Amino acid sequence: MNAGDTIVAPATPFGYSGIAVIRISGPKAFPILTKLSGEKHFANRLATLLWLKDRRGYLIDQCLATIFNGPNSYTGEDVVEISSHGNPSIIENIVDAACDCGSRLAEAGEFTRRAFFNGKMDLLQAEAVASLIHSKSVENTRCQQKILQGSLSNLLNNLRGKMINILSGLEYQLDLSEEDLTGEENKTISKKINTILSIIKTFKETFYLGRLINRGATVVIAGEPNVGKSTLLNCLAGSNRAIVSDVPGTTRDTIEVELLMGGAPVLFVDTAGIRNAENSVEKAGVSRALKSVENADLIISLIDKPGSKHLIQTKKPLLKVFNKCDLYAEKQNDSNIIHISSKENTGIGVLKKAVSRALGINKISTEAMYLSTSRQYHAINRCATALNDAQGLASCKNIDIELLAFELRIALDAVDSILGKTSPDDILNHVFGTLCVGK
Amino acid sequence: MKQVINRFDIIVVGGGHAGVEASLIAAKRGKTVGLVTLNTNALGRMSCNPAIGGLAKGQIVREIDVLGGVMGLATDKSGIQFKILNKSKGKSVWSPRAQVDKRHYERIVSSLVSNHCNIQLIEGEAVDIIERAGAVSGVVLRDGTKIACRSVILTCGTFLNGLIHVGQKKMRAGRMGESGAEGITEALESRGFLSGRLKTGTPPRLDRRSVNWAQATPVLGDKTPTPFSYQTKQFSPPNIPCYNVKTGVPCKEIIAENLSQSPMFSGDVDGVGPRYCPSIEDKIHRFSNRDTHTLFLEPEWIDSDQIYLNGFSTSLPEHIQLQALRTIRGFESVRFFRPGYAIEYDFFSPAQLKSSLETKDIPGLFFAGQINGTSGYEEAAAQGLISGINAVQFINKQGPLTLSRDEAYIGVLIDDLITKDTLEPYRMFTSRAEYRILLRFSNTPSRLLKKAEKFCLLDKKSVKQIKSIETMLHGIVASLNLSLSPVKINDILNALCESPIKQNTPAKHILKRPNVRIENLPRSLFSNLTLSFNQSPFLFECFTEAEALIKYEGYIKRQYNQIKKINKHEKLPIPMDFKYKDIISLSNEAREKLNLVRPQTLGQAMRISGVTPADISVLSVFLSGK
Repeated sequence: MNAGDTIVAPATPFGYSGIAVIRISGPKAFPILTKLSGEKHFANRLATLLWLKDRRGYLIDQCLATIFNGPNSYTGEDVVEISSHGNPSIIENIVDAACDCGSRLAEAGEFTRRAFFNGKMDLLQAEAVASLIHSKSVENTRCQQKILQGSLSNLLNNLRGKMINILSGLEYQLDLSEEDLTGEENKTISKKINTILSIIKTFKETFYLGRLINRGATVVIAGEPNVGKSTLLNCLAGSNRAIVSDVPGTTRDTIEVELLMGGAPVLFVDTAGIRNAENSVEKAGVSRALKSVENADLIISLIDKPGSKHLIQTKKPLLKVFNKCDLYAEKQNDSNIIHISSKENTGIGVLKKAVSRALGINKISTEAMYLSTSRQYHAINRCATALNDAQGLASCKNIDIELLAFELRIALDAVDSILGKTSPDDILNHVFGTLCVGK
Repeated sequence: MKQVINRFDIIVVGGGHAGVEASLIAAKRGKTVGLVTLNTNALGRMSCNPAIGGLAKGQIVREIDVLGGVMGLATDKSGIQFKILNKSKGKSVWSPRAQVDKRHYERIVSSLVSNHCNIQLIEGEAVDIIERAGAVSGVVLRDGTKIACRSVILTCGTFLNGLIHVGQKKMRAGRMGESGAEGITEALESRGFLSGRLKTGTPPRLDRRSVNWAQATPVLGDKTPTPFSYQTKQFSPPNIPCYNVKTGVPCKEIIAENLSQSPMFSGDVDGVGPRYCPSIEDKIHRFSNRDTHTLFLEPEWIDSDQIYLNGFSTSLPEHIQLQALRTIRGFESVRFFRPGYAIEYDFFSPAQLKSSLETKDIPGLFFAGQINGTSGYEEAAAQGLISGINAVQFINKQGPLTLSRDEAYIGVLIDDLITKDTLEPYRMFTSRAEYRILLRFSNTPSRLLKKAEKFCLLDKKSVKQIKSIETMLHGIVASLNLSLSPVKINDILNALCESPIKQNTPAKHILKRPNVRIENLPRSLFSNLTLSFNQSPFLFECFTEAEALIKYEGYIKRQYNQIKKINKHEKLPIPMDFKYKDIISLSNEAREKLNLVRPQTLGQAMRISGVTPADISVLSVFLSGK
């Protein structure tokens, strides 16, 4: 507890929305608002329209700010609530700017914890805040999601069961069996741990999906010059965003278009055609193209002639797309290749579906929201690390079963902490930790 | 009514493993002890298997030894086969066990008790306690005799309203051939104590001369035995074999057909039996896909004709037991001295105790052993010892000795008893200890010696002896800091399929490799050990411990971190008169449970079943508000 300092955090979920609320609490809350806005006088509990600027004087956003004089505020301290436009980068900028002015990022539930310690609410009310937030998010999700959320916790429970199964086998060896080990045991244990590890990976993926909704993804269109990358971008955007011509190497800089796909903002990036360019400007364009490939979540590798090679060498997910299929009667006999014609606007739907599948967007409507908090993610990571270590132990010739059991218990505790089954390490933190940052 | 016949500091009721440890430690601390027992010839009797120690229990015996108890020393003197179990598994679960000459063990313990000038044996049956000014002040015997004292320890074992079952036959008894104790349960209930009923069983005792030994497989103990007690200096015990036989399909069929005749199945027994020590009928019923079960033939004493048939605990009718046994190879014409039987007895919910084993409601009254719902000699002895120490502390008006879960199996044992529901007789397992890696049999002194000294549980000579063994350990650990040259170790590494070293490397780094064991390192590394160490029976154990310290270093650290994290709440005290009923925000179940258990710390509260993390949060807030 660092009572006395000033904390800041977004009070609304991080993502795209009409407005977002950023909350600042502590003795420096008002001076910080003055620094950010240049305004010196605010009326208690009255909204003021103002422009916020960052440290260098750049405008961030036009916002509504309301001050609450302590102790008559949520936390019992001086509080500022800023309503900005709901855009992740704006939210981030405001939070960063507030931190530059002497506040620090709040821990999860810290606002409510301060309210509790300042006598603004009792513990039950604090818990009620947590469940209120929770119930709102449940309302916002579809019925289907509820079912799938259930199925996810079923999966976690299943995982738990599997770990308990291994553990009880180990404990049997340690506590009841007086017979020596034959060495065969580790092999089956190792196999069982592997099964669990692969399930864990699925869970990690659901976190990725949760982030996908909030942060979005980047898809880079790459290929040789003049295969129709810009035409494809325009086609996806539904407007003439990029200049197209028959001259190879027309696109020099990268051009970006953001589309909302299944709830996730996806940034499509058109790049310069990759070839050994002679022109220095084009050269710079090619190097930029290669760089954006590095930062991409997915690459659309475009070709326009049968038998052309896909140029991009990457470990990242990649879609092979054959453009200008209207010019050729026969299809490529590689079923992995998606056939489109940007010009004729054919196959674009199929491509979009493929993009959405490759990014995992098609799963969003189902389970993405579940493993969305970083607390859950860290727990799953802890579980995975412990299982990996257990796997390492199981592969030794001289197996120390109690160490294996120790790792499995840590893995089990991690899963239990998501399911809310174990006793908390730190009781108060547990209660307040269920609140999102900003509450 | 008779007059007060005498006055003692402490009255111990019961002369089993709990009773003798309680009496001896209190006497050692200079208190006068009256030991009330039904039979002064049955002190320290091993009423079930002829063995001490074993998985998790071996660690307990070590703890008893360092805390000044006698079980370890008596075992070393009466043991006929010593073995460390779990040797193919990790070092923190290695557990010493000894087959024991029961009669010899009894003789040793009995003479320790009878020869102690501070202990007076009283043959009789306690039927009630006396309370004065809100504290215990004496006991009442069956014949009306009242004995005054300042503290009472009840260690009644299986004798409270004991009921023996053999088939449909029932006998009131404490053990086969010994009468039970009646009246105490009722007397305590009238004082508000809650009791329950448990059951346990014991297998038949076979006649050695009726077994065809050629059909049985001998099992020997360790060639280099490790003693239980650090006070044992010369150690060359016998190594007498036990034998194995296997049950087969015909045996299974006979038992399956006669299940209904077992009181456990017919519903005659109300008490709940232990799952982990199941009767043979239970095993056959529950593991019906298994055709064979291993039975162990253990001699009850040297040259004994009486053989304990470990693994065949049963309460089937006598003739069915015989019929089933005779289907086993080697048992074709077997006879027994006495059949297996089940015994039901009263226990008192240990949630009524503090972690000192003193009852929460009557100051000076302690419970120890099977009366608290445990099973096993070692569990009983441990509780006896702690209750004895704390009765002395009580009389001296000094704070009790309590052990935490990260410091001793005894700590785990008592904490579990207080916080967990007793659904079956409680037996210790290593898996009950969340800090198992720290609770090695080989590091007992580092865990408990300081407390033993603080509470004056050991005489100076004994402390010195334990410290000399620690010195030996430190010598070995210091040697492991020395470097080994490639010439000295590479051949060994090659043989172990480990990659060779290129330059001089500290021995402990080499020892950290998974396939390298301390015995693989060249003996010359330890040339600094003095001759007396080389002859010590604890040399092997010290090597084991040194290896554990090196190999488990990372895990030991992690466990300490876990403890650090939890300790803040673990030790937060809750007043005994805390009004749970007034806290509406607790769940109904939690309120009820907390009110029943009345935990002493938030840590205990956390472990009570039915109390959720949310309840704990509420509780912690109310506590910090005080």
